[in-house]
Amino acid sequence: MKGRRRHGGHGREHCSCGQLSNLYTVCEGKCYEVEQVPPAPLLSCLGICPKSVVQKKYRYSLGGPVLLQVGSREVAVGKDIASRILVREV
Amino acid sequence: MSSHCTVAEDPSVLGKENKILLMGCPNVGKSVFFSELTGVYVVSSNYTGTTVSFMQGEMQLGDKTYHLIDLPGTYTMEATSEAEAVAVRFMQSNPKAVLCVLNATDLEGGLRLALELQQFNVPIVYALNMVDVARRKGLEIDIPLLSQKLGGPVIPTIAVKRQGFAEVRAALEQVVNAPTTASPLPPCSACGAGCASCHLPCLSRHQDSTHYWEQARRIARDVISNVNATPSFLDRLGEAMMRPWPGIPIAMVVILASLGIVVATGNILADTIIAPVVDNVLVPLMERLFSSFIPSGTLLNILVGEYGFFVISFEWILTSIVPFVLVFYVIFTFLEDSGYLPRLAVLFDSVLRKVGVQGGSLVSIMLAFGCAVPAIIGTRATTTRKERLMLTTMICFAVPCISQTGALLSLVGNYSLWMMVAIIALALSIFVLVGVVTSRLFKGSIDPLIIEVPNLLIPDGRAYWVKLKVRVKSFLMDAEAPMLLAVALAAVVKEAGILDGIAEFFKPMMVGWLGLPSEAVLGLILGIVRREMAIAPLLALNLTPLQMFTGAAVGLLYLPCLSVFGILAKEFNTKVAVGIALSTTITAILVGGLINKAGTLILGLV
Repeated sequence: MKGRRRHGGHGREHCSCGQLSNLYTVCEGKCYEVEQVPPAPLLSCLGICPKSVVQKKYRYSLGGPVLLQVGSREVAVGKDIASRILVREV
Repeated sequence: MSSHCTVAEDPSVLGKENKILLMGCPNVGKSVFFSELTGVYVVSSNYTGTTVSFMQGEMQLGDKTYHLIDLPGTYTMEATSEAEAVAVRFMQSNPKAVLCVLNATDLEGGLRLALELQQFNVPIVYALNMVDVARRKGLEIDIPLLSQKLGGPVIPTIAVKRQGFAEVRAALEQVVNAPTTASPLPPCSACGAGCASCHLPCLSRHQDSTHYWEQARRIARDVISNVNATPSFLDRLGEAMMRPWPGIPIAMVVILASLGIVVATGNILADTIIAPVVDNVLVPLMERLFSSFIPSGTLLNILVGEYGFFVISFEWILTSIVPFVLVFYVIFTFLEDSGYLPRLAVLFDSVLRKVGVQGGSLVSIMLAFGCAVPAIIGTRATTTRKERLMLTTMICFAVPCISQTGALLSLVGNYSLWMMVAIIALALSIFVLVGVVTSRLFKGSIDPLIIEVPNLLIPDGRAYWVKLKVRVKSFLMDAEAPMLLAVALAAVVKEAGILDGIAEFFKPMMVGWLGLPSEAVLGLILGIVRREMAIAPLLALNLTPLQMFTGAAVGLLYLPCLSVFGILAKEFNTKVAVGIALSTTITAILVGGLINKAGTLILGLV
């Protein structure tokens, strides 16, 4: 399932080494450094803040959330927020 | 150990001396600490929003009594939510000490909160909980080093197995009795005061979120060493349950199996154990007892007649409702304690977004299958008023509580499985329709899902049993009085002959529009008191399949019960409560009538 597919929705998943991309569309299974987050306090509470490294585990179909590994914590983030989190592959 | 608890926020508690605060992120097992240390058993769950207010109990340390305050789980002290604001107010209320519970499997998150708590200059004891799960995941934590880094005692604990509590008590006793040695923090550059006296906006100016995270990560890196660990079966299962495949099919199996177990086991319990005892022992006993000293007439009929209090209270409550309630709580508590519910929230987020709410709402919806009251209180955890109102309306309209489900199962489930499926489909359609309509009707926005997924666990036997007992007991305490009131009302209305007059008045609606026998109006009267009582009177009537389905539909959609009405008025306002009550009643009558008319038409053609 890693690094391939997917349907339309907000955007096709793509791998973009070193490029600034939104978390929703980047490939699954890779680690990313967070560059920019939208103003949602709970994100930083859960460790998703600039300079943090997250692993994108899965993206759920039909506009579902993305599942992230943040340190030893698993956090699911809805599509609308994930597509406003800018990350760079590490 | 004497203890008591408070669930409403009471400013007088803030002013109490000898307070010890119990703090930690959501899902760290704080409530188990509270129960063990105070003897007050609270319903704890491993998802955010379980504790929306604080609890207090008394705790003995040496010869002194302290007030242990269990605060809502918070990730930060930035006062971004009501739960955090409550925590901040307590931290500023001069507590004796803080018991900060850290999750050993997510040390960074706990450390971040701990670092913020240190800014308040209150002695802290750290309980490092779930060390067994951390070891299972291959995480070894250097506890002496962590204690040194945090500048306070760190006690390893496994709360659900009650390991480490004696050490926690000893450490707390030591810190509360120690002379205050903590030096005041450097003055704030903005206000000139120490952080302990500083309000939070000031605190957040000192160090932003990123700074705390960096510090927490540094400490975690220093104290954690990864050892090779083979993922256990539970870890692999938890992982599989989160993958879209096979996570979604597993979720469908879990939901259907849970429903199946509730229906089948509830029916077996009712048919093989409860009904024979009620029919052959309890009811004849009551009849013999009362007829031995009360002469035949209205009074005897009210007590032990066909609708007598001591007949229908056993037949309706004990046989038709209690077995399903028991089995539901057995299953729900297991799912809740295993950490599975947040997984469902993630898997079904996209579907719920289409209805207008987000996946996190699923936890409130599942709670509502038990009882709408805690579910409506739980909607406080939503982030916008629109979402809260939508969710509450959807619950009131189309999520039957377990007592109501029990009555529905007794009515239609015994007749035909397909009719049960049709009722579920009707409830789902109404749920979706209400979601779609209210998302357009109510102003505002719905925030997207942001949720932490806890570890998948096998619930600890004792903690599970205690929680189940608390749940069943509170159901019996809360629901029994209104149910008995409804039964007493039914007995008087029916046996004293008042029902005939009321039935005559409502005949055009009941018979003409809904196609039900005129006596079925009793359900509409009793349904005001309890939701399931709108359906229970139909059990005694010899209904045709169409009448059964119409009655079930009306009972499903009818008025929320008195307790729900009360909580709606309290949590929102009377306008919202009246609005929901009126709209559910009108919808129930309208949909019931349409089903009757359409059914009659189809049956006429066949």
